[in-house]
Amino acid sequence: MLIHLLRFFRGTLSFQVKGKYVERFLNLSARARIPIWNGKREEQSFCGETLLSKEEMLRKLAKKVQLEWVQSEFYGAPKWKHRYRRRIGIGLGAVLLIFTLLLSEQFVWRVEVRGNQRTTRAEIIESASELGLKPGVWKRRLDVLKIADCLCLQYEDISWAAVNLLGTVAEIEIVERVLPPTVIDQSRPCNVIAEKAGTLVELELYEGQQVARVGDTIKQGGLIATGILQDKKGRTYYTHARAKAVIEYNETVNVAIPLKEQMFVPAGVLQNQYRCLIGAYSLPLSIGAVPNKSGFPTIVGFVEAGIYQNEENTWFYSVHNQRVVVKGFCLPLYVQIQQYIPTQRISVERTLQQAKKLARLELQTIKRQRNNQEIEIVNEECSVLIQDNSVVLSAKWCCREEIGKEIEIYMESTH
Amino acid sequence: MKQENTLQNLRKKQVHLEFNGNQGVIIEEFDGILEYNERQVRISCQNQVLRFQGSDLQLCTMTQESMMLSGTIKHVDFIG
Repeated sequence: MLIHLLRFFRGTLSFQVKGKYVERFLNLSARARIPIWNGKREEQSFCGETLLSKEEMLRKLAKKVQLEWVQSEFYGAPKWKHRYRRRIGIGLGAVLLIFTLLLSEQFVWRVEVRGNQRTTRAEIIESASELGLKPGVWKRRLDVLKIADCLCLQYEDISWAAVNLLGTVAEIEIVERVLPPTVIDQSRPCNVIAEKAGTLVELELYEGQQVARVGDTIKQGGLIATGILQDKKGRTYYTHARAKAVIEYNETVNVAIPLKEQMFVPAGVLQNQYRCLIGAYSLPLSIGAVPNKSGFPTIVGFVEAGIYQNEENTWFYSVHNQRVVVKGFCLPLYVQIQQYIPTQRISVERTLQQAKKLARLELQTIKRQRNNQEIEIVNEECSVLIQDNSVVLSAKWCCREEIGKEIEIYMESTH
Repeated sequence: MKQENTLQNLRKKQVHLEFNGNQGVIIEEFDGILEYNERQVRISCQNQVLRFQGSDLQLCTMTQESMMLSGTIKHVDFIG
């Protein structure tokens, strides 16, 4: 590859010689340090390639060994130079392009976020933008250490942040804080209380004295096991009570699905608007107004989709930003495609079966949420009612949950 | 004594060949080309002649130090 590039820039001469003494010609060329490549012998002729700068010498050698110089042509950068010698604009354009490329390297064209889990990418990018780190800013103006510190101060969840400038990409690297669980010192006296109200169905006492019994109904905050104990002589001493307490309680969940509902549906032709985003600037590429010029929001950021409504009409809109990539090389440009669809409000009527099906699906979602919270649903009774033109799916659940919570007994110091 | 002879032989300027299967060969330390056509290439080395026979023999590169032949090589002979 490199050798091809070098040959291109130095210029390559393709030649053909005819005669008897080709071998002698080749030997003399080698001694004169003229490189020859892609040689091919055909009857009394020889075709090959050499450097453009060696043409004169090679012609002399051919003449010396009585070879006829049949044809030659050259290609590579010198040919281009010769061809476009009067077109100054091309040269200037090339220089301008190189200059622009070099200049564009001095700016941030993309902001990336890495390491975030709880904090969203959009939040961090917005905060960074407020601090001055946004596409289109001059890299030298950025105080990356200050931005990283400000991000740490702004978000409690972020314990460490760094801004790495990698070429034209500013990468915000963050490490989120891992909050330690509340640890109660095992040597300190504790009670076990109920976090929720219900009937105690399971109790495993590890330490302390049992207060509630299996089958008892306990209130929220009610004592299950105490850490204040008495010995045989009636003297009080304290311990760290520990217990696993499981309660059962009833929960009623109602899911209502209306039989008649007002909804927005597309009603019209999709309209596209194109814009070119260069850093913080936006240039319109399409002619024509946005559906309703007055009052329609100018979308410049990275919004994905939404509904816009004014007094007269409603539109669905979506925005896609596409990076301009030329043969794998990312240019610091985005083409933003804004799509608008006019909508109309229609009334949707559902059959009883359809409404029930939707209600069941919603109930399943709530059930999954409970399971994620480690709540076990032991028993379920469902009933369907029709109230105010809606189907109400009412589910009575018998839930089982561990609710024992250790609470420290605060004591006044006697010292 | 035998070891010394081997070392002396190595010190002598000798032709160096590097084959790429039978599809090409790089020749170093040669004196010149004696004959060159598509079927046969004869190269003069120090005290002998090297003959390559085959088909579609082409001179890929040639400089003062080395040359590269490509094509299908069927025979290699050291003559002299």
